[in-house]
Amino acid sequence: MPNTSQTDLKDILPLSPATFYILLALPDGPKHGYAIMKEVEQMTEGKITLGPGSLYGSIKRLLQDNMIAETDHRPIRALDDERRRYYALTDYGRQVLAGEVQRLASAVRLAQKKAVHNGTI
Amino acid sequence: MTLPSSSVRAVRLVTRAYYNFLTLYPIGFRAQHGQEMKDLFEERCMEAYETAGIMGVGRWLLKILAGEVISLYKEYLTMMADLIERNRDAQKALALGMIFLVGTWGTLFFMAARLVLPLPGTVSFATGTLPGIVLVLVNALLVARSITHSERIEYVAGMAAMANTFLIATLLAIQSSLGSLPSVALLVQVVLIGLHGHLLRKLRGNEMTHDMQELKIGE
Repeated sequence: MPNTSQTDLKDILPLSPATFYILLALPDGPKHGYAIMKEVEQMTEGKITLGPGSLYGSIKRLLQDNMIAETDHRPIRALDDERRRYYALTDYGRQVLAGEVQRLASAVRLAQKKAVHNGTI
Repeated sequence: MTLPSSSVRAVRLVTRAYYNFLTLYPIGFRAQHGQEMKDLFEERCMEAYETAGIMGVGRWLLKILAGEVISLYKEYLTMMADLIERNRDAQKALALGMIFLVGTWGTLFFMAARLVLPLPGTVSFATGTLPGIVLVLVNALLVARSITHSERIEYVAGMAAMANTFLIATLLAIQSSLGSLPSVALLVQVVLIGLHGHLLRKLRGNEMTHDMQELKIGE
């Protein structure tokens, strides 16, 4: 499991938009690929549309980096398709996501401060 | 999900085309995620069809097309990087391959320069083509010696994917400098993907047929 020191996060961040939104789709519980794809589309109002190749390419890398893990936990077993694989955020993935949110927030704060200061907003 | 039979046919046709595209991915990646990708594609296609008919499917395909092609090449690059990381001979082979690519680009450069400057043809041959030919032979020899049969197939496929990317990038650059439409580059891309698929089918032989059958289990 990768260690989550500050240096590690610095090496990983910034995340690509696709990776960021995939991670952001997972904090409220495990999801299968289709649900992740739909959630990303909804969150970005269709600005990011992931095809199966891009989605599973990212999922593969996230699995390798231990940011997400495959899980047997299924939200509603009776309504579920057995072939589906569910993915959940790991503790490490949660830390990476928090780090990225923090980074983006400070970038927005800085931009707002600068824009307000210059009177461009 | 119940759809009218014409819709099922349309979705099936698009899905079938996607199966063929899926077979271009490296074997390891397909073994891990191929079935999921197929299911997801089918499900999303049906949803797009239900929402906006065949135009909806078309719009969705256009949105994801570039990302899918990029992800195909990305998987080959990752696969080759993994292969090279754990194999010293393959490292040498890749280094030589890279020199070969530089040599080829050098040749192209000299060929272009010859159009405007009175350089002798032997200069471009000596700087690019000849070392290029020697290096590609050494590269092939080293790769053949150092990795297993199935890895070799994937390596060749990866090299083909890389060459494909370089060619498209060059075409796009030429087209943008000439200000012509990108349609030719797109057409070439489609033809090259087809050729890439044909090459893989030849190389992978029965393995590919078996793979296609596996992907169709969920139909």
